[in-house]
Amino acid sequence: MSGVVFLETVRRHVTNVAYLIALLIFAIFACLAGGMGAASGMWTAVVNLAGVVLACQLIGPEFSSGTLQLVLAKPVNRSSYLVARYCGVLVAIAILFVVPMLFDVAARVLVHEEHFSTTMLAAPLNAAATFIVAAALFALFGSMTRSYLNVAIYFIIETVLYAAEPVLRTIENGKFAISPFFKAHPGIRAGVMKVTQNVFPQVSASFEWRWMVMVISNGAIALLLACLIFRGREVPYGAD
Amino acid sequence: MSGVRVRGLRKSFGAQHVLQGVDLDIEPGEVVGLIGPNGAGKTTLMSCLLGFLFADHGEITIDDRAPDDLPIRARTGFVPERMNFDRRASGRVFLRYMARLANASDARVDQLLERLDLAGAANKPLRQYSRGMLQRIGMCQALIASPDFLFLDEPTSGLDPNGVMLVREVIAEQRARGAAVLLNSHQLAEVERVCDRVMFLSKGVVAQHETLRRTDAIPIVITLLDGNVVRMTVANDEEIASEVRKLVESGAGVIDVRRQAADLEQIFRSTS
Repeated sequence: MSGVVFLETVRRHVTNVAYLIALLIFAIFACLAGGMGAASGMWTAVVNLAGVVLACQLIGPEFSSGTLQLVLAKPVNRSSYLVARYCGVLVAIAILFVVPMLFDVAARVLVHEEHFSTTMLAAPLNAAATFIVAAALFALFGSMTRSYLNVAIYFIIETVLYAAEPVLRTIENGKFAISPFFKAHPGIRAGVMKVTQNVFPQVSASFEWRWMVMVISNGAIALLLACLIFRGREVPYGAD
Repeated sequence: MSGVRVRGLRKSFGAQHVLQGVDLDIEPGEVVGLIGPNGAGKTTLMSCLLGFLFADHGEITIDDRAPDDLPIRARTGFVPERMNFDRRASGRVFLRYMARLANASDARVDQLLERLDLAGAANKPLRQYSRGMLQRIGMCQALIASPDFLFLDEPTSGLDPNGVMLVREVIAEQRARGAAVLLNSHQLAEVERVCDRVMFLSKGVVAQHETLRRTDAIPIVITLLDGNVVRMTVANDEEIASEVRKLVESGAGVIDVRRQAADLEQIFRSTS
């Protein structure tokens, strides 16, 4: 991993005024939620959106703007560039979750005089951890496309996978010509569900090590694939 | 050190054959101009030389190695036609990032900011830079590791006359240092002043080569007082002096002696 690219990626995010304003808003929001005793981590849904915005910029816009070509003209290995960008974006996303989480916990302890417990941390940290996979997928789709096309691919696959399970169940329980086939092979629907859970993991309200290991390993696989594709990818600049 | 070698380079994008067998040599200490109409394949050629695009056929070597080898990249500088980076970053921050990527020092950054006349604007964000200043900061990042191979894509576009002269001086310094330079430019007058050789690219092939500077045969034009013009080729300065002396002794009034420039405009028109 290129430490220079990693630090530059983090610098670019944490010195961005929009990023700092978003962080402040999330911290206030989490503080209010914690103070009012709302369900732990209910504010993470809003932060998720900001996380997607950061993750989808991992590679595509760098390519289209020409910044990528400036960097790749220097003695930087493509894979170490991509891994450094990924880690830098992940740190920026983690900050968006961790800082509001601290305000949330502080408000709960101070206002409701609750004792600190690790369950207060579970939901926000799990939500942040889903970006280990999500950011790697954005890197993977970004390594084969330009601009923000990775966002479209990501959401199309997510929608198709989430829609596939109820559709398959309807077919299984219905009286269609192909219904007997799917009834005889329930593993197809189970397989689709398994793939969905692996690629787009649902956030758990408690710490589960198996879930965390799954998220990290799936993220690593997606990032490895991204590096392999990116190594053999052409990165033209400008136009005649 | 051997220079840049390209042999039989072909590159297509689908059915569009952009480069159709390009040969090119750039020796150390030589500046080669790349001229051609839009769509001739100049940027594609530059991209192949930088390892951004992969050749379909043919061979590219830079100092006998592949262009995307990291040790070669460490010795390569590249100025894109349009500089794009985080516009909130200052010129100094941008250059320090580039310096760290290229394993160069912060002192080198300050030296280049001074050389390219950007020291006063070093702490301004890039969004406040004019087109010419962005070109000069692009030149700075290309020179950051004192490269042996320099690829310049329209480095003088958007520059004022002072900026053009400055870039011309910098290119001459690189040549004197022994760098092999490829200059892609539409500004024919600039190419004529700076380059040793010019390569005309048209429809993906090298339509013509033109040597602008030869040390052994210098074409000169002598203008006489009566309006007549004498053209000849000489080997050195002494021979120029000798020819002029002969003309004066024969009674002809010499009012001007200058190097005969290749008519790049004419060649451009005929090869496009």
